[in-house]
Amino acid sequence: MSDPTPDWNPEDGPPPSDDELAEATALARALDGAVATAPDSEALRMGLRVRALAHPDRDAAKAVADRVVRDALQQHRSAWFARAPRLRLVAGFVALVGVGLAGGAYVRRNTERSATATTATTVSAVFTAPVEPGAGSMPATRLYDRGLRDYRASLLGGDE
Amino acid sequence: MTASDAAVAEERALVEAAQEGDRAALQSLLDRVARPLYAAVILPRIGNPADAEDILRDTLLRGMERFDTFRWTGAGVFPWFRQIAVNQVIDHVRRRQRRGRLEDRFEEHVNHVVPLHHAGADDALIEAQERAASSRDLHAAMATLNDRYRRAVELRLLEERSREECAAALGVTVGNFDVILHRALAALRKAYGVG
Repeated sequence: MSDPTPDWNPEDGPPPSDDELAEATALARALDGAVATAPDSEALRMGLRVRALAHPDRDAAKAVADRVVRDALQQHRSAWFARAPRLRLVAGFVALVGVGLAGGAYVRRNTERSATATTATTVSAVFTAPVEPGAGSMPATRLYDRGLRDYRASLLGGDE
Repeated sequence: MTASDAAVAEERALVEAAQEGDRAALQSLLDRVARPLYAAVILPRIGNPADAEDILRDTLLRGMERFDTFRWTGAGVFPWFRQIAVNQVIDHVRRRQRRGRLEDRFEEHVNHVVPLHHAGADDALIEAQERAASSRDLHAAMATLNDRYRRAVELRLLEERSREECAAALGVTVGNFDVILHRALAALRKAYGVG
């Protein structure tokens, strides 16, 4: 690198400072590809942007694109599989809750049906049969009298 | 751009198949958009190839995660992925600058959407269209530089001449040319947009 200051043209602005000189040198070397690790400078990024736009390296871009697509697909698949156990767990829990709810509803429905059926099918005839003359239609005093008479008969062994 | 109806139909069929879980179809779509995204959208806005590759990867992953939300509008998948890439570029620059504000010009620049019909286009055509739009922006920014700065950029980066040739063309030493180019790129960065 030659020394820029001795023949610096004032039309190009003020003479460069030492820092600017060092940055300009680093930029030149980075644009030449002379350094493995390019310095992180705004000017270099701008230079690389212009170069990328004006002189695209199609083969390099193709290689990068192919590599990234392959990696991204693999990463996406891995992420899906990583999420899968949790998804299965959640799905299992939801299914379990669903089965529980369905079972509860089934039991409740059958219980209600059973209760309804018992009431409907085992009603004693005594509740539905028409009332007819007989013991049931006799006054309570007469029932009592009959019972007492039977008792006396069994006890005294004679006719009343 | 005009693409044949068959090509548009093919891309649409790939989209539908990919949304139904066909990974081969998804890969076909990614193969179609990846290179134009990298070479014509991301790299010319970032400069650093390693950063650009990371951004492309993040773009494709984000696109795959949300692909079921893509709705066919006739323009194809490239504009959809392009917008994701542009957002990733903005996020990257914002993180690098370590501040919450971007220069408006950069955001305006990267958000510049080319109103083109991309459906059915192959990657080379998409890339060429993107590159043409960005080149117009670059030349408009270069037109704002003073003559010697603009000439330095043209000689060194557009015409890819050696530093010695560039210095001779400007009538300065190689060391002085390096300084001029450094200042020219700093000025261009302000005119073209922060990246």
